[in-house]
Amino acid sequence: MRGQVLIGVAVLIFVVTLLLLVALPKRTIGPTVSIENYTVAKREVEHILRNAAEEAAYATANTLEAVLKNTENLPDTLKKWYTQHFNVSFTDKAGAYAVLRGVFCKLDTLDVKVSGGNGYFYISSIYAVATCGNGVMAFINSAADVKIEFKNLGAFGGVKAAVNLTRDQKQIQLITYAAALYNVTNGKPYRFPIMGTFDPRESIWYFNITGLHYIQVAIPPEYCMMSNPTYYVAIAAASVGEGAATVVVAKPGKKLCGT
Amino acid sequence: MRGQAALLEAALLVVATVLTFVVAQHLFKVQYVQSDYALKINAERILTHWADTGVAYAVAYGAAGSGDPQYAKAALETLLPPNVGYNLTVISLTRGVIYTIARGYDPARSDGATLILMRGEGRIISLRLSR
Repeated sequence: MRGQVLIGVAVLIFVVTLLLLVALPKRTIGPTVSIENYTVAKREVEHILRNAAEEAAYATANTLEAVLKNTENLPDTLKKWYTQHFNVSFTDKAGAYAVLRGVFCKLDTLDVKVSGGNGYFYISSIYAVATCGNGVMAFINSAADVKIEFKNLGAFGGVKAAVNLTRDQKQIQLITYAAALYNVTNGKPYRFPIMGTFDPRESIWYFNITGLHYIQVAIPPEYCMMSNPTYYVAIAAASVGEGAATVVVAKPGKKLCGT
Repeated sequence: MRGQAALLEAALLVVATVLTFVVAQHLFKVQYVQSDYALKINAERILTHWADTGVAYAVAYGAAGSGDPQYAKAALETLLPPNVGYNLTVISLTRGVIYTIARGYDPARSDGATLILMRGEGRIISLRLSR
């Protein structure tokens, strides 16, 4: 009787183990650093979003010639153009990231808003969410506030932009920026570079402890003398790794220099 | 007769036990790795802190795009005590290794972490620490 019970117990242990083998996935026992691994992975994806937001602003400003071919409903076109560049930039970066880490990330949400004032409009908010195959989810939420002033400086015209970039309600102190002028004649825009180039590597660095950045652009006499201006001033400004960026497009409504 | 039954029981128990261990070995993969998790966690925390504060961009890109080893050295040595060695390597995804800095680094007793930044052509910051 005793022997039968023991044999029964042994068979039971064996059967239960076999069932576990079939039912449970293989798992690793041992020390892990899952929290730190997750934190690093989350930061990496967050920075992909941030970099995409910044580089998309420069790419948009750099390809404004295509946008200005049709000057109807420009704010909407700017939004569409920026969204497109963000998507391209993110996909490119996520692809390289997947090769390195073996993790695929996709852009789940991208919400871009455009605001404007008298004679100008700009990208005023960027909200983007990415999710990855390893369970990481990251987002960026940044905003821009821009005020433009057109000035008559005598021989030159002037455009003064007060740019305030924020990320999660925190003001950005270090930005990079570049500006150019696009003159549209017979539906064809031509670029005249003013400051820096629309490339994060060749733009101008500007640190201000207050977070308010004054970007002042001089308009050359051949343009500022126009009493009915046909040119647009484009300014791209972006943080360095913070995910805040804007593209400002301004069109003066009158002659900006001389008497 | 009773003696044979007891022997059979004992043999069956041994077989069941051995089989249980064999099956359990297949069920769980136990990792015996030679690594120092404290150093790995420290390296990961330093890189996370750098990513949060923007230091990672100064270290990996600098103002001119080729990184800033002096800044990296200062940033690391304010965080690490003198008895901890380090090896920091910044790699461009297109240009290869940009620079390496090290202090008292022993690869045989090291562990570390990497951070990937995708600004421009992308950078890998590899930080390894040793005791």
